Amino acid sequence: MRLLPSERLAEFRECLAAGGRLYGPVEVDGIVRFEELGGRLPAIEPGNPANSLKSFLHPQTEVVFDFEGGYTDVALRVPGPPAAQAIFGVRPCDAVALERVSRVLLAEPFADESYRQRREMTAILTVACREAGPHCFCRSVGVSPADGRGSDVVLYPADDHYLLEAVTARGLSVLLSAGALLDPAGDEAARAACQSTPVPPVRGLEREDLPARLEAAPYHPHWEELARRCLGCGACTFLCPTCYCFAMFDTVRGTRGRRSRGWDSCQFKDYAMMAGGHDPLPTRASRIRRRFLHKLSRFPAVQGESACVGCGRCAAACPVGLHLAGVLSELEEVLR
Amino acid sequence: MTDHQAALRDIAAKLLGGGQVATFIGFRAGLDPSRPVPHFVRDASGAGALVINPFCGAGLARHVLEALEDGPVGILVRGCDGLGLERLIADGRVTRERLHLVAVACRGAVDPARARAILGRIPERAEVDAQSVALIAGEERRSVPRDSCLLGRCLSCVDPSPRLADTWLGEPLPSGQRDFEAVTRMERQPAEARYAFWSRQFQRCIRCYACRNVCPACSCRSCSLDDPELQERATGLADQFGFHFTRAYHVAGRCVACGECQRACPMKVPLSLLNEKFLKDIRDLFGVADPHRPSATEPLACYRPDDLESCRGEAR
Amino acid sequence: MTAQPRLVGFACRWCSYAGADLAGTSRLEYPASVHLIRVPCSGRVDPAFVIRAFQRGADGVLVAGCHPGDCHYASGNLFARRRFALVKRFLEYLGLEPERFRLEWISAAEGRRFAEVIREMTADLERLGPNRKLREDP
Repeated sequence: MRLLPSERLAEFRECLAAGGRLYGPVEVDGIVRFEELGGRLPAIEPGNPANSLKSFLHPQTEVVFDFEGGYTDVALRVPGPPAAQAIFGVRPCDAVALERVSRVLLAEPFADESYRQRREMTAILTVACREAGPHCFCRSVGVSPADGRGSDVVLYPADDHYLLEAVTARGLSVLLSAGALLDPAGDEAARAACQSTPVPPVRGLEREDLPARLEAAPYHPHWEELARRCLGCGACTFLCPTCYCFAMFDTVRGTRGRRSRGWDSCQFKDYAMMAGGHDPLPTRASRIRRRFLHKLSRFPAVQGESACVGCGRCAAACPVGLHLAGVLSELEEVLR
Repeated sequence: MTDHQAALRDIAAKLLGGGQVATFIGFRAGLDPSRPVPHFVRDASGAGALVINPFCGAGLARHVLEALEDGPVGILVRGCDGLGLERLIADGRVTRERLHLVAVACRGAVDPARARAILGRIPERAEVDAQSVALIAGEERRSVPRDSCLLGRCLSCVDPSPRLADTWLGEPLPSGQRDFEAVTRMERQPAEARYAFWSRQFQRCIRCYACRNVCPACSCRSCSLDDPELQERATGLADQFGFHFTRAYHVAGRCVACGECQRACPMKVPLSLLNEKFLKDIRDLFGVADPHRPSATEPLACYRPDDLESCRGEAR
Repeated sequence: MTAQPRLVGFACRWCSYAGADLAGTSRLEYPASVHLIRVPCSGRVDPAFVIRAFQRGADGVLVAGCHPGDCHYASGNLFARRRFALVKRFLEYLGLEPERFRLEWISAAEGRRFAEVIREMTADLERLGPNRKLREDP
């Protein structure tokens, strides 16, 4: 454990920026988002920036390759390896989400090469939470405001300093490179404080039998009720730090073109459309049910942990208040 | 507004009980008191769940499209909902006879996020009048200016009351005229500043399609924005400009200025500022007095032989 | 700028395209910067075409049709007039220079006018330099 006095935060940022591109939460046009920090300090406010960490590891759109040629000879140009980057000012839930996504995208034998390379080139510097944001419910899904999973370094904020803990070897080398700025840590009160940060619980989510009860009611009329309210947009999935679905698409310009991949959303019509016109998720109700069951039942069944980390982004963003915490407390009532 | 809650429940129960409507669309309490959610009552006994208060921020018009599949619909209608329904009726997507409109005048809805930031906790009640907003939680009551905590879409609203109604809760409020002040300010910026502004806004877009899906003028069964031939799926800046141009242009002449797109946008892209540019130009070029209020002829589906030759030669 | 600007022109097949033909057969000189696309009517031009042209590298876009009153389909150009009055202003609102988009009426007899419009627009675009806005490979 090391200690960073708050007044050296800017120097610490410079030190991080020397290692590659540096991103963090900043407020622009009235909205806090992860962006390139430049000369700014990360805006550490309760809760999360609007976009999630996944934007930097599993980008909204990325180039798979460019191609050029005719019918028989096609030249491919694959983008070079990703550059080193650091994200400073991540919340613990976002880092935990990354760890969950990695279980899927890095699972052998089909590890996602592009994601793996980015993950290896990315340092995650997490700031633990002293206060819950308006939509936070991490404790209800087994994540703590001082969680270190998925992070390389965790910074525990105190009144006039941060307590720094290296979680991984990468984190340790970050701390070594900033060694001149850091003091030895006297006590670890800041960590204890974050570990006990209160986060209001969500009714229903902490129940152990919830997945079983959800699975037992696949045709419960409440799914239809939710479908009436849902607008079928992809805001919840695109902001969700653990949603990792993507689609591939080609852009062709004469004899040149580009294959890209970009986020896809299970809430979009035709998401599951297959050759032959078969669609296992033909209705909005089926797509909503799929989303909630995936997060709370099927992902946990395979990976042992919930695919919701309680970041609250869906609650902040959904235009009709149809988000995980809200829906779960409704279901808790109707499934009783 | 809150005073009408009992009457609203009563009317909804009667409409559902008497079989006049199959669904009644209104609001019910959400996870916290400042976030009511759209609600679909299916039988008279469920009408007691309906709420009406200044936190009811979502537009309801768009929801009739699916609800009508189950039969006639009763719906709570404020000015914005009324214009949205007029749009759907004018577009031939909804027939007036299958709707029962319960009208109420609205002085604006409170943005729960801004209200919470002001109060430091979740507000339990709010009172909105023409001058200010009172936010109430427990013993605390704070009076703040309207522009500090109302939804953006409500601050520019000039249609507090719907023009269509079957039953009124209380009295209508007078309507006003849009001034397009924000558009004028934007027009006065140099071109480079405008391009930089829109680049910054569009770069934030995550292409979730909330703006389209919430829009009462975007009710096409299939949408060009879903067609990869017409709209690239990539999200580079040029693609984003194309997307936002197309979305705004496709509602030009039909936008009712309800501002739902901007409210729904999780990235706070100022979509109303795009829609309003078209509205302002339609007013100025074609002499349509209130271009956001649906009329028998759409400004882009008609012409006058003496329309001003507004493009011609202007470049020189 | 050394390279010629790239000007994409959408020309109605009844008037403006014939006007361009006349400019050619009359041996009128005008810059080879224009890539002319024949359309049935100026009313056929979807604003998406204009956006697409800018996205794929046009420095300017011209939509040309029959004079009001002369439309082969009676009113196509009158709809186009309203549509592109809005589109032009909207493109400017997004930050594009006004000279980069024009709607012009050019009849089949106006070969001279066609050449003149192309010369004017090319000169404007040369002065502005290549367009980088809205372009997919800026």
